[in-house]
Amino acid sequence: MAAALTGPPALRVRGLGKTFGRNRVLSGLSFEVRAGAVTALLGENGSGKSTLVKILAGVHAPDPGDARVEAAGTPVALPLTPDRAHAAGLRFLHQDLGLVPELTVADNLALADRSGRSGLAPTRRRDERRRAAELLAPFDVAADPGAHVADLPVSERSMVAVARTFGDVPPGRPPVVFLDEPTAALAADDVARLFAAIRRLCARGAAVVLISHRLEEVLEIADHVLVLRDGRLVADRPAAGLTTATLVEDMTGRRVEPGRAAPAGGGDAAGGVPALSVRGLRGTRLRGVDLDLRAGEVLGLTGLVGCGRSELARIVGGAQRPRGGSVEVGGTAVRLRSPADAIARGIVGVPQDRHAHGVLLDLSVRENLTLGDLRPVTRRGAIGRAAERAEARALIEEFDIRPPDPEAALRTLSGGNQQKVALARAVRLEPRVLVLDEPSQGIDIGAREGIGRVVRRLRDAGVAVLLATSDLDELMDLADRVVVLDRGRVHATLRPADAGRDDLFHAVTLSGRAA
Amino acid sequence: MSTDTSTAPAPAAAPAGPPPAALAARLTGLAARWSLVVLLVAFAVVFSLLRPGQFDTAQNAQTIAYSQSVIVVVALSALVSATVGEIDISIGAVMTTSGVATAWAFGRGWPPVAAVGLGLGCGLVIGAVNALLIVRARINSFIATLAMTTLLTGLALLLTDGLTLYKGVPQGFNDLVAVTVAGVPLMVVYTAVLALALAYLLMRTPVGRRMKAAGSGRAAAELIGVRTARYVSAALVLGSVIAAFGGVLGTARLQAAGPGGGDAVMLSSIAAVFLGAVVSRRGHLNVGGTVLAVLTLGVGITGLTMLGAPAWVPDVFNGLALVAALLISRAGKAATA
Repeated sequence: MAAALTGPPALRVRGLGKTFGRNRVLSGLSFEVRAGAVTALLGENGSGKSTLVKILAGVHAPDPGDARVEAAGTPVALPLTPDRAHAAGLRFLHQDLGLVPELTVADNLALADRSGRSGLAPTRRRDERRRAAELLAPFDVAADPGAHVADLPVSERSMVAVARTFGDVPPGRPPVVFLDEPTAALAADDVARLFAAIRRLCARGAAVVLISHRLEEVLEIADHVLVLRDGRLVADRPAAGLTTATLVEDMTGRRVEPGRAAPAGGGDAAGGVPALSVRGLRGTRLRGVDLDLRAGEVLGLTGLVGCGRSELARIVGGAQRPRGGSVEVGGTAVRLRSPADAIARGIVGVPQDRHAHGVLLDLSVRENLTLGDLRPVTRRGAIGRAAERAEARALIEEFDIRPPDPEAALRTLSGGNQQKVALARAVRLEPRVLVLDEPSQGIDIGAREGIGRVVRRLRDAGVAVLLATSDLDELMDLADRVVVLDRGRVHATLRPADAGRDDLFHAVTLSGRAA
Repeated sequence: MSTDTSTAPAPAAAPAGPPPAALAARLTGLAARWSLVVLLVAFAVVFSLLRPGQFDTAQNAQTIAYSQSVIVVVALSALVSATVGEIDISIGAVMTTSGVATAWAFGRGWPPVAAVGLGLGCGLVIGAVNALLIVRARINSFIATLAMTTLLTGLALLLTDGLTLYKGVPQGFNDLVAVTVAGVPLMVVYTAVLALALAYLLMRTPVGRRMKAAGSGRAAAELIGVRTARYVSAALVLGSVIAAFGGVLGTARLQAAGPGGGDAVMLSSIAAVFLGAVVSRRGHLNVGGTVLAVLTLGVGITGLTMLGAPAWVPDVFNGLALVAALLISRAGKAATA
């Protein structure tokens, strides 16, 4: 698609900067986004990516100064507002796609229409359906415009969301579409379909800006790469000929060795009573699962979307009650009615949805770290401030949480640092069994490596770790054994050290096809 | 190191101090935090100038503190339930019911301890029922306590027959709140002790921390290991008992109790809780701000009444103050975000 790179710039940004308080998060940013091409916007968490996107979406105002933004050659008034951004043809698609599941496809497409019709004018269902069908046609969407979004498979939903970005753009002026981690929730075949849709977007003249942490995917689809580091543009180059290694180097400013785990010393060689066993476990997805997890072992749990790995993590962590079967800790069957029950048995979980479940955004880092067990910092019935702060400081240092301020509101931390807080507060409870559900979702490579180090250290200290993840690289890197689930049952068990990534990949993808 | 940077990043001119925008934001935040104190002082100065010898007397200060104490107590009750993220609108009705129950018990010749016990017991039982409805049956707290309010209003009418109960309430009961120690009525002393105890509970103890966590993010707090059902229930019961205590104090103050008046107290109490969040840097609910908000509103209304303001003014004033507070706290939050 090199030819597309010679087209007119769909978006031109000059001299954009942003300061929060004393903190300069973007400085002197200048770049162009070409129509008909995919531009990847890369950077570790905290590099300024999200801030840049939020400025363009009209959420944040850029620093006053001589910054300029042009869309298709036309200057856009700063600061942007959501309406100005929309009028300039900028479209933003977030992970959750922004669709309303209870409404039909046509309704969802009509919702996005800001073409200026009165909000009280009667909507004509037939017109809406016809318009929806027209919009969807180029994207090969099988769904009927009258179908409810909730009933569509995930891949169809992403198609609808992508089609919607063309909703009310002026004729002859295709949109600039920002896709933020669009593949995070998708299984492999759905990713392929989404990429097909992205290519169609480009073919119809749209400019696509892709934000993703999955570098292989980036290299697969991007024509051009922009890399941010510490709020500055450090790379602005065609994607052709790049490798993940060079991208990682750009993002981190240093060489990163893909630290492969040493072959497990423990594993099933260790014998004895398992730290955690589940027998015949059933739930909404699980249909009878047996597992043994030993002290000093990292057991990976994977499978396609809907296989039940998250449900198993929740049940073991006490966050969901099983419909049947048993959970045994150290050989004794236990009833886990709440996460607090699980914690009392030495099982500590770090849940998947960080924002809603993993941390308390309105509380400080200190309060988040100590909440799980306040006894060690309580003196004669009251929380000892000095003791609590000292514990928080120690954890902040140990887990490299930034900024290193115990009083910072959790909301102000980057995603990776929020996840470090969630992990730190779990490790502080000195678990015998640590249950991690998608620990690296949406965080940068630096934070990911940090989490990997912690997992290895805990394993070496004899902790049993259950790692539920859809990320094969993470499993290759950390897991001693991997259990692949398929629609609620154990499909395969393998050792990454013997099997290798390809076998693991096959086990996971084949599992979807197994009868 | 990457060398192929076709777009050279312009080096940022590092500012020596915070840039002007950030400074303005910090000033806005600061102004928001002190707005209640400024308003309180402004009221005091203006009304003293307009009504010299009437407003600016120790007697008047004592009267305001005395008359606002019941509202402070009920506002503290609203604060406890709001801390766990629930809005308990039955606190006004609890106050009325408990006050009436106490007066009713005196009228039947119960000893004072039993009468007070009945009043507080009403709060305990109602709080427990609210907790069951909200935590167990998972009914929205606003709806559940709205139903409770209606029910209690009916019960208060049943107990009083629509009249004010005063028979059998002894003078000694009034003395328990009206006697002054070094110029301070005992009522104010009780209120201050309650406020300090709650501040300690909410800010310094593990129980308070867990309540705050449950209010800040119920699901996350549960997964972190807080038994949220327990703490939410405890807060609803404690809030209800405190509201009942307010009712008992009210009966002692008037030496009588009638079936009305709960709604107005409930509205100003809940308003004060959210107004009070303005004084916190992060916009968190807190005891000091709640008390300050009740006093500021109380002083404002007392002053306006002295100036001869008609009956509709206090409600409009309360409503405007709440809207203003919410706007200020939003501006303050946006500035510090």
